[in-house]
Amino acid sequence: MREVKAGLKMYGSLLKMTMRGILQYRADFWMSLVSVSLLNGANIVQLSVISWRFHALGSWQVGDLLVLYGLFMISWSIFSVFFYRLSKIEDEIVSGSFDVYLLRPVSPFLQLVGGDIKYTGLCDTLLGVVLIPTGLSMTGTHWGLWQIFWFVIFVLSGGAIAVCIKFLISCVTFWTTKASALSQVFIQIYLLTQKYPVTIFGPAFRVLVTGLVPVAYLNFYPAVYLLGKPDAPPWVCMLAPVIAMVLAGIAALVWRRGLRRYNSSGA
Amino acid sequence: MKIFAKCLHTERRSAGLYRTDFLLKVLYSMIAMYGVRSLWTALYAQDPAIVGRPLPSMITYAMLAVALDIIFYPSALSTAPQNYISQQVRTGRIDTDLLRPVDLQQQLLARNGGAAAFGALWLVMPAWLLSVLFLGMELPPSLFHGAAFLFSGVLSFLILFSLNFLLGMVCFVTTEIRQITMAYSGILTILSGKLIPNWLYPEWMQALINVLPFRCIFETPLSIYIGAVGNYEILCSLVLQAAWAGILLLLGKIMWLGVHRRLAVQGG
Repeated sequence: MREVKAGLKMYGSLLKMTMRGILQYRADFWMSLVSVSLLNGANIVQLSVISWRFHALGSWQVGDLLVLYGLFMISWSIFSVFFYRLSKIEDEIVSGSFDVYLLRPVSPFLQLVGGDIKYTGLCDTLLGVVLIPTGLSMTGTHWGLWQIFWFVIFVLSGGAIAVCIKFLISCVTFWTTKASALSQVFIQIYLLTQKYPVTIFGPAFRVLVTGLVPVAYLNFYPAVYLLGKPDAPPWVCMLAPVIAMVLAGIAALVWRRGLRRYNSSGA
Repeated sequence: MKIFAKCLHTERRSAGLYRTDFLLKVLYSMIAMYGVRSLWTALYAQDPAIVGRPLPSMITYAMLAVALDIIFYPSALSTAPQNYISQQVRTGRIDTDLLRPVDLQQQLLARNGGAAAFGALWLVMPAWLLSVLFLGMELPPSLFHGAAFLFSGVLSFLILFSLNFLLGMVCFVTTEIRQITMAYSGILTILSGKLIPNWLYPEWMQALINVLPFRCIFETPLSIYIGAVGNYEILCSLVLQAAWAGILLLLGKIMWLGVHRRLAVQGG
């Protein structure tokens, strides 16, 4: 317990240090907000045009699709703000700068995560925060306390799942020294679940994104539950926190084995 | 041309180093193709009349867009001019590029062209072949359409290259273009016909898209491939593409001359 406390304190001071560096560039934030909106705007324009032309995508109206998209953005932003550095393990290992973490008396994980926060990721959060209420008002769904409670649970477990998957992919570098193509495969998978309800891709894909790479728990299952869609039974959706915990356990194990196996690239 | 061939060769050698990488890349293009295929199948099942084309054509259009995107996506290649310039400007190594006896625009064209040609031959071709075999991608209706598609694809690349090059010129002024690149790829995605063909957009948007060069990048070659346009229109759109490519390349050249004059290299 004491170790955890000391770790959190260390993380706090690392973050404080990083924040000070970042606050020097405030204009960057506004620039990011514009560009993140434009980049995601492309997807939203596409979804809107499709919904306008075809009235719906399966049983999903444009409002539902916006909620689906917004949920993804919020969960994902937990990764992109606080844990973004985990996806840089490959660079650190290849360039040899990873060695430094092993020499210091603080856990390498904390040093890695605390070394940087990508505050521009907050733009993703903001976008999600705008999209979800917009979508909800379009579908005419009202959330009570119960739904809000589950919304928080879903966002937290979705965030954890995103972090763990990214982390696991990065950990592959310990064995192969290269993970970028694998990460590309993952990106292609989540680009599909981010925008579209998983149901349209058939059962095989659904098994893939539910069991193997559970990205559907970032937005699809939460949206099904919170919007009362018939695409999946509620208990499957409510598994989200369990899946997040299992994945975190696996990630911790793999990370330990990876560290033990680590050989410096000697660059 | 000789530089181009050399660049192609270097790309091939560096790709040979990571063979699993190559397989994974083919895998992810297949996933993306499967994705758009499912999307249009689902939409077609709802209302075939709205798509405006038979389902196999639409699927072919969407899957081929994915395949082209592998080589066209703005941040996909480290040799894309804007990525290359921004990297060299940030590290201060741009001076070595200026020392070379070839003009910067030509240098980058050879480099980027080599990488894109490599991508086309070793990534898009296998993905295309696999999708013809397993995902129901159609062949072009005639040999003429096929040839016109290839020619149009090269012109698309030139247009995209010159737009990217112009973005790279911005980098000389602002030294940082990451944010602008994101915004730019957003705009490109909407207006190029990559995700949705232009004929599905509302009319006022179609009017806007028609006067911009972006649609020449994806929509023109793809429409030719699926045989959505007649022979006469093919010729017209090829001429239009060539005109855009010429104008934009020239614009890049002029901008580069302007930037070159006032360039100060950060002492890296």
